[in-house]
Amino acid sequence: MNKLILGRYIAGDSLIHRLDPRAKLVLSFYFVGIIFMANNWQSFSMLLIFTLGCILASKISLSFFLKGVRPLIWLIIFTVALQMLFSSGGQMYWHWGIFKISEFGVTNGLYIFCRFILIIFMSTLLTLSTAPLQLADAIESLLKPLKAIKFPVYEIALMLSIALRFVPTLMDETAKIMNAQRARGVNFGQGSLIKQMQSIIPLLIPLFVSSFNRAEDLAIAMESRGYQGGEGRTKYRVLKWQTTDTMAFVLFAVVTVALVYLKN
Amino acid sequence: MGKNNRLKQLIIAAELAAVMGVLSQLIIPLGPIPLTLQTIFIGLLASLRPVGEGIKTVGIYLLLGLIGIPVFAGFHSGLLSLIGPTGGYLFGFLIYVIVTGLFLKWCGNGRWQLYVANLLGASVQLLLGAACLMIYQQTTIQQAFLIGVLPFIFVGILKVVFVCELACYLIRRYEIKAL
Repeated sequence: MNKLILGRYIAGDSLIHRLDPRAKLVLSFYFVGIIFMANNWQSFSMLLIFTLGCILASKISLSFFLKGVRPLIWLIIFTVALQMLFSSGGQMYWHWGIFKISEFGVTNGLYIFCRFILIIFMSTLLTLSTAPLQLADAIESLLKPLKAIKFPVYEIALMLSIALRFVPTLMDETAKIMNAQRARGVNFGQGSLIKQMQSIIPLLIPLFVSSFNRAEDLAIAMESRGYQGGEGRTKYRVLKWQTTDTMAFVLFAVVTVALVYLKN
Repeated sequence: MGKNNRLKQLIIAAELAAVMGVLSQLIIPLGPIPLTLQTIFIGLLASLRPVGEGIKTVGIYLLLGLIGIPVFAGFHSGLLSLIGPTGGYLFGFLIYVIVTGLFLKWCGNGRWQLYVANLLGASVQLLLGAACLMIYQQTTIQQAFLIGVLPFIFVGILKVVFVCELACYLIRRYEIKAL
């Protein structure tokens, strides 16, 4: 239950934690983009060393990052095996029916494995070192230029913070409704498939209805307190761009140049 | 549309996004392929609510996941879930809502329209998910189909039938008008 409220953020005071969330968000996306440029050993090892350096700088234990790999482990194994067994080219090591292990397949499989690991580590670093609220602010701030084309940036930020607020409430409420329905004789997760699917109905409908009712109440409460939309509203948390953020961008530019130099 | 109404719509979308996040953690075990309740929720959302609200709901759901609240199935979250190999299925929810919602908006919400719209939405979602897998893993179309589409077809059809029958019942029971 706690997990759903706090996210996976691990509080700390490292260089990475102190970076502006906007910089972290943009750079994480950027890094995932440039990983696809790497296509030989030199470029992959350079990126791997860089990623490990970032992890070290965050002072978060490596085990948290390895946990991020676990849910995807089957997909990774499956993909790597698929690449190894079915692609051909280069020297042939082993051959049985349609299955073959070739030089090309092995290197390709290993590259895909590296790419997975790099992407998992970097994106895990973002969520581990940045609190959900900070990231929500970062998203609002980064979307701001879209206001020019009438994109409802402020409304998105409002909905995001309301949703954040209501996740724990709805979690409790779901548990309550399930208990109430159990008391009336519903067996969740038991019986035939049809029975199980039918048992969802007395859970879904009260959830929908109570959401609508609460939305009505909240809208009235907000309006009666003078809520008028985004115009002229001030913020409690203000993001501040610092020199270290600019330095981070410079560092990533250097990595990109090195990558272009190293790749085939 | 009054201001109050507009605010209420935003709040409803935000709440439904939170509901979706909670429902993603509830699973009906169906052998190897589990059926999470959020897929049923998305079908109902697309079938019963206006397209705009559906898009807002799913958009906020995806953003909640992006900022690290574990709202994706199996308590997952973060950038990885969205731009990782299986991210296509998550963005597929957005496409599902748009395709199904628009079809129902243009063709009315009778029983056969519900079936066609939901089948269409679910297929587009699966194909998008498989396409993302394909790009990520650099597999052929046949391999992507084998991993990304085939295992989900049976569960998908089951889900569509359930969603459509439930939506039909609710539309009749509560006299919901075509959107």
